[in-house]
Amino acid sequence: MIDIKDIKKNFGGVDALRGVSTKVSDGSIFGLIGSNGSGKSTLLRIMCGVFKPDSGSVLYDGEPVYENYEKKQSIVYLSDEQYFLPHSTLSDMRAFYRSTYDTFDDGLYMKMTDMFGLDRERKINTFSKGMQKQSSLLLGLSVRPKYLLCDETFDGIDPVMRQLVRRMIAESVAEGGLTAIISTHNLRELEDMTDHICLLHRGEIMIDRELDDMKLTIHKVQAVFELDPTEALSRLDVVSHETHGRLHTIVCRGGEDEITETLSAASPIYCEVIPLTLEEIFISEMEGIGYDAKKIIE
Amino acid sequence: MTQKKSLSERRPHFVTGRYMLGKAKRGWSVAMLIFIVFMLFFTIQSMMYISSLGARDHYMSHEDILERVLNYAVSLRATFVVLSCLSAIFAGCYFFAPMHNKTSAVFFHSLPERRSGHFISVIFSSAVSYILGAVTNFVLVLLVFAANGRLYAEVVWPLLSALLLGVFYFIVFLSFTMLAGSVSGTTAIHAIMTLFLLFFIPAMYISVLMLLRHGVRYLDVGSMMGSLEAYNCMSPVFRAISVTGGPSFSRTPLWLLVIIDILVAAGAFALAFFAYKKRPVERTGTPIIYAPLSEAVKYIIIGPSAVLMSEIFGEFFDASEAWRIIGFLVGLLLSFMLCNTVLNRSAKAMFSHRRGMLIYSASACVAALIFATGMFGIFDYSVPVSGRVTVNFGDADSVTFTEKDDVKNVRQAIKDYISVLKNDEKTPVGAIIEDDNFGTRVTSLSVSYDTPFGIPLRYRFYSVNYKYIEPIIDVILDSDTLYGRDNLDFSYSQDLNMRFSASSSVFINDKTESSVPKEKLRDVFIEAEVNQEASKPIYSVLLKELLTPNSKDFYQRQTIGYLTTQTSKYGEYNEYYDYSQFPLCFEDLRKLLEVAYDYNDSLPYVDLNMLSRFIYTNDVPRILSSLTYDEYIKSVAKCVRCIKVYNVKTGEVTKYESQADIEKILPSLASLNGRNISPLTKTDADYSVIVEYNTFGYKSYTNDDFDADKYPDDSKYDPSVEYQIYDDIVVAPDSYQTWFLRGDVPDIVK
Repeated sequence: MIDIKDIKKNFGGVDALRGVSTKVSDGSIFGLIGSNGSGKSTLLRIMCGVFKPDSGSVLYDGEPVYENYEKKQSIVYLSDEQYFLPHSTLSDMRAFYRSTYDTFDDGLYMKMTDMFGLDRERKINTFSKGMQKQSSLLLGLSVRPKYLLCDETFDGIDPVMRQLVRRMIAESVAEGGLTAIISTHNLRELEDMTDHICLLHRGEIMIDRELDDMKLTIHKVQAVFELDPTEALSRLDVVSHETHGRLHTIVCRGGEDEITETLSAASPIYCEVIPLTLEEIFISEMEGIGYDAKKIIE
Repeated sequence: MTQKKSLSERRPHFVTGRYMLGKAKRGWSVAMLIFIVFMLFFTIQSMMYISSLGARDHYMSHEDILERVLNYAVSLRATFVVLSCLSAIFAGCYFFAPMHNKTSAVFFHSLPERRSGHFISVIFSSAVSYILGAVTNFVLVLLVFAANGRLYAEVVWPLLSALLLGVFYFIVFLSFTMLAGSVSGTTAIHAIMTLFLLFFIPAMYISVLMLLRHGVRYLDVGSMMGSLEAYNCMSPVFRAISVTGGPSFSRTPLWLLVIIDILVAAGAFALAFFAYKKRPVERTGTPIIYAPLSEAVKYIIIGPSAVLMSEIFGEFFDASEAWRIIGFLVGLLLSFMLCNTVLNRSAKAMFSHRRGMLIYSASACVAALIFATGMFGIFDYSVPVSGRVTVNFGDADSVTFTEKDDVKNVRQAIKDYISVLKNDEKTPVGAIIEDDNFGTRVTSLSVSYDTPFGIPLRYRFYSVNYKYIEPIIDVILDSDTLYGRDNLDFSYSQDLNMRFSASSSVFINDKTESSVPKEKLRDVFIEAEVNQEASKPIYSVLLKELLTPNSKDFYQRQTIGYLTTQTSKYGEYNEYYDYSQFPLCFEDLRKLLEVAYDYNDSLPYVDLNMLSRFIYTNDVPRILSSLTYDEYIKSVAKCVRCIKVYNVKTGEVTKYESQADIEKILPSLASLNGRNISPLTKTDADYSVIVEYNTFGYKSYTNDDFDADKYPDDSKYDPSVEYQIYDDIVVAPDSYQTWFLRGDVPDIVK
């Protein structure tokens, strides 16, 4: 388990992280989402021991990660900007990873390069951006790490390959006890994979919950009311509310039954409670704290 | 499938061996580049030179060849050390480069590797590249020597010392490169920072001296600026030069310089390691990782830059003080803007930290002003405490004192002199001898103190009245140091006069043979030849032995001329000559001329000045034949037209023209031509003497293109007339100023 305790990090007067605390369970897929500049990459780099936090700690099974090379043997960090040794091929990188990680699995590496259809002897700098991401991922997964930290790693990979990567990660989680921390802006994709979501905004955690829990506690309602719904809505924890003619679209926190019962006071002619997608939850939450595209445009 | 690791891949506690090996392997291109550079400038050069010696076998002796090979082997040391130092900087920068790129720095620091591992792997990879590139070339050079049959036993140590010094200074320079790399955020700044660390202390030292130069009168800033000794304590660059050059380059013991560099390198590595351990990866890409250091570097650069600009302005605008000040301010501003731009990687930041700059500028101006006014005379009038004091007069060779009592006595004498300088209105400084003022014997005095930090403080007092420094002369004459030293050469400050006639006017008759046994002299020479290791016998060494003083009286004798020796030496490519001059006292004359006669290839001429001008060695037998003192004096007296004696106290001038008077006066003169007086020869301060000869010569000579036809014939020459030969060329009677030996003023003068 990864225990992140009150992490603070300041870059030249700017607070990148302001006391972030969370826990990542072993064998889970942890989704890290947030607005641009929210501190996701900083948190990941602290989690893999690249950055030293100003205060707080990151403990892997009770051990700090910074300058702990034994612990880092079980961690692979895939940055949003891939780095490969100059003029190297996949085979060169394999040799490098082999010399660096004790757990590098040659068999898995061979299997994955075949699956991805990557030429092992071709210079990586001649690969496309997507192929380079695939290379980075397959090398990382070949290490068979206990913890895989991905920073926008899927961006730029075509849908078919993304599907493959997702499957590989899911298999590794299921079979090998991999714990994946995935930071991405592609929430649709994350939604299919992740167990836990952590939403960061301006260096602080806004949401830190299991995805299923989150989906059960926030809903979108589309309804047409006979009576004025103002009074009923005031009794709900409304995140956002829009009207198009007589059609009300309401996002509010609470269980489905609780919402339906409350809105029944306004005599709805039509009322449908729809579960929110992760992207909708993200947008709603961000709107709730003023990070709203409409407001930004205004 | 996880493959089993080999033994070499096992993970030690401190650093991963296989990680280091991997990094070193990836740096093969660096090793190759180092190899190529060494191959071009070291191996191929050696190959060409050593091969070229093969053609000389048939006309050069084995000893000559050996000497050349030895000289060459010694010169290779400098090449090897220079290339090693450059290799250290290049390799260090190359292997550190991944840590100066954000993407790669994040990648490498995310790996299961300690920072110590990254740090040591850079050192290890650099060392491996150097070993592959440089040491391989060294082995090749050994093979080149051996293949050409030139790997003599005598050559092995010079070559081996090149390797040892090269490796040593590779490590020293690598330590500085590592330190620079640990605090730099980009590779370009890393290279600049390395140079900064190597040179910033000397640059500051030179700046202070440049400022001081305008305000001090006696501190010999120019000499201090050019003293390698001073820089030895400031930078490994200069220590490398000193150690590579050998004892002739540095008075500081070489072992001490090496120890200093060992300590400095250890300190630099430790500091670099500490800086790297603390290095925040997120600041990678920032020119200097640690912000306070960035500011410090900026202000350290600004100061010397401003002084340099001030000097440039001064040079361009006729040394105007106003322009110097403008230059200083312009230098401050421009370097500030440039540093800000570079250190912030944006021209928009050119004027950032203005407040700091204003405070710095004000402080710098005040400091510059204080230095430029000579620090209120502190430097001029100080008598530093030193364990080693060197004193010399004029341009003569120096006398160095290290004995405690000597140093103490010299110090006291100098202190007394300084107090005269400061307080006495009869200050001797600045006294310039006028054409009609023959009274004052002036000289220059130079004193050099070796301070505890190794920076020599040098003072030079020009045109000093001789009588004010006689106490210093006494200290020197009373010291055993003077008589124990092996270097006697108190040569004289004047250049040779341009004379027209040569050996035609020798006045001494050919009568008897020399009484000096030639065999004895020859033995001395043979001994010297054996003792000379790296060059041809330097006969001047022998001549110095012949002249070694055994009492203070040595200097208190009449000198009649000097012997100039020319000794050939072999350099790396060319033969060159070493000239020395020796005072000729009468007791030595016979011996010295004998030497000149026997070894005329090496000793081309003797100068007895007013008598013979240059006596070429062909004429030596004639001179040797009748050389008795009385005859000599009589011969000289015949050449003298008159002697004028100037009484300094009364201002009265007495002229002596009779041969009898002249013969009485001549033996009391310190020199018969004025210029061959040793600085240690004490003269009577109450009288000054002008000796006018019947001979004549050029008194001014600035152009080779003269009309020889206008030159007066000996028979028609009128001493009272000055002959204008050609524009700037004037022929006039030979006349010299001289003094009576102390306590030997002739009765007819008193």
